[in-house]
Amino acid sequence: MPEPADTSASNSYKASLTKVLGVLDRTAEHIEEFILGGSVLFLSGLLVIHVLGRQILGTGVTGQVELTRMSMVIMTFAGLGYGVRKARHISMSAFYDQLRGKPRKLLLMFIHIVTGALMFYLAWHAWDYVSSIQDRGRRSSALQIPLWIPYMAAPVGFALAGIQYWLTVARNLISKDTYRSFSEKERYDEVPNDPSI
Amino acid sequence: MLTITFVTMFVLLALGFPMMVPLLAAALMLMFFTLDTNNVGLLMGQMISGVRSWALAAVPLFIFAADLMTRGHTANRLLDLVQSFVGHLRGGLPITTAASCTLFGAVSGSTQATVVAMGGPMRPKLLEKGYSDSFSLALIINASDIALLIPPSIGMIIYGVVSGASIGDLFIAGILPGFLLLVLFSIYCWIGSIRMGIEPEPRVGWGARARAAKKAILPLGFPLVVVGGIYGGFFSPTEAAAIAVLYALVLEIVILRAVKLRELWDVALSTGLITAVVFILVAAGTAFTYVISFAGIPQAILDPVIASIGDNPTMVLGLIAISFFIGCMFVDPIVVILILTPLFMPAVNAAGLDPVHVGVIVTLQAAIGSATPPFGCDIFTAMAVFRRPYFDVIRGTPPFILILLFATVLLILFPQISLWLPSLAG
Repeated sequence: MPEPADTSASNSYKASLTKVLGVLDRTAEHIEEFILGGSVLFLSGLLVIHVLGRQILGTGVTGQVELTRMSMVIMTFAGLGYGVRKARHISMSAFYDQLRGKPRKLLLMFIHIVTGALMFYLAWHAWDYVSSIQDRGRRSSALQIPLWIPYMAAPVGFALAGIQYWLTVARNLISKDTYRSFSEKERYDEVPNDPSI
Repeated sequence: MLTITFVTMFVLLALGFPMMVPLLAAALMLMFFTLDTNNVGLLMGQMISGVRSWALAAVPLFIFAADLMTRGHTANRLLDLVQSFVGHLRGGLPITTAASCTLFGAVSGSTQATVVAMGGPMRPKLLEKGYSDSFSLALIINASDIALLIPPSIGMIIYGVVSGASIGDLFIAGILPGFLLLVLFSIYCWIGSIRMGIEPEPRVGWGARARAAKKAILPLGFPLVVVGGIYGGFFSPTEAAAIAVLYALVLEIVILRAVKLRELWDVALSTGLITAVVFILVAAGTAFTYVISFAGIPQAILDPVIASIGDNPTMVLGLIAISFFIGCMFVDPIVVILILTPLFMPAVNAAGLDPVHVGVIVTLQAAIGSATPPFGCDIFTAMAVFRRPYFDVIRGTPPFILILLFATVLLILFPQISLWLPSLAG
């Protein structure tokens, strides 16, 4: 029996929405990966050169403390959204793990809606904070780098995390399965209960 | 209002919200309703300053080095070395597991990395030999916790940053307690093997031992460089972490060729991810601690308790151990260290305790908490790595927890176990 026209229209709408969201998501993912992986390599390279310089030549890298601190801020907040994407943020999931099926999916969506809202709220205030730093013209003492530049990672990171949380909700709304993040399906059920394995 | 805030915090935590949410929600509620201010920018400043730390940079660097070593040959070579020397003893295989976890702790600093690197190859061997799965799993997750005491230790870096204690001294102070745990676990493994009626492995000849030792020389150079560099005053812990990265790169990519250069990006990315999920807790924990301190809550809670026990050092240490142990049973140890350490520092100072000794006790509690039900993070790592259900993983843990608590009592009563090595370093 052919499917009713409205169901097929709704399915094609869901498919296009998933596709558009998917493209946006992958673009954001590449940017996050570039910043996150890049900041780890930069920090490692910087400190290795600094230590070798200090031990061998007797002089380290000028401003390495400032650059290290800035890398730490960037790494933390750039990884905020990426952690949501990979469903890696630390949580106490004992109660959640006991649930199955719809209640589990509903709790996951509730957690993601509320956490996403909190992330957007913090993004807004982080933006205010960074604007005030920029207005006051605060710079790092040795290298004179305007501090608002590394600190921008905070509002951007919170906003990207908020987007990821709400994208996960969208994915769960349009899919039958449960998704822990926009791209990762719930995998807990794969843990076997057979003690002989 | 205070009660509502803490109830909200607990409910959010229990429902499974990411741990940063209860911390930040409680900080916001306290700001709005108790401190009567809406200056959220203040919280932002605290979050940023919490992670804007040069000392904390040691964390991603040690994780980076450990990840390189886990992907390379280091883990297997250390395991072969230990097995060739102790494998023939009664309980040799579980003792090998415990000793290898301790040794790998000296290159990784992360309990979860140790569960993966050592538990992966050792569990099938233990099962094949006839050890029960509950014993094997409990041994792996608890022995991996020794990694938290053996330098480099991420828990100690966080404690050092929060308390102001020397991270270098903390690293050195953790060595003897780590070996004490290894000895206690080995005794339990020996008794366990007798009770399970398992015969020892055949003794390995000196030729094979020499070959295993030769293969392990380069991986063993790693703790020598890190600990020796800090002990000898050549590097700060952050600088030692940079040297650790260099050592791991040269060893695994250039000499052993176990890791390809193109894999470096994946390692960097996974390091960045692990660091970020830990550091966002550091940021949120700093903001939360700032607000509760501003509201005078720690003093309100702790002052009556401290007044009742006085400044007796043993009592204060006992109170610290109990508080951290209970905290770590429920919440990630890093969050517990971030929140409870500043609360207890006045009592530590009043009792004239050495913050380095306190740091060892605190790190030990974090280690116990990592493997203790209901929410120890290593339990969940073991569930994921070995694909076992929750109750299978925790079934064999009680004897290990008792051993760890016994070690805590020994460390409280005999501070020299922690402080002797740092005192030699001057």
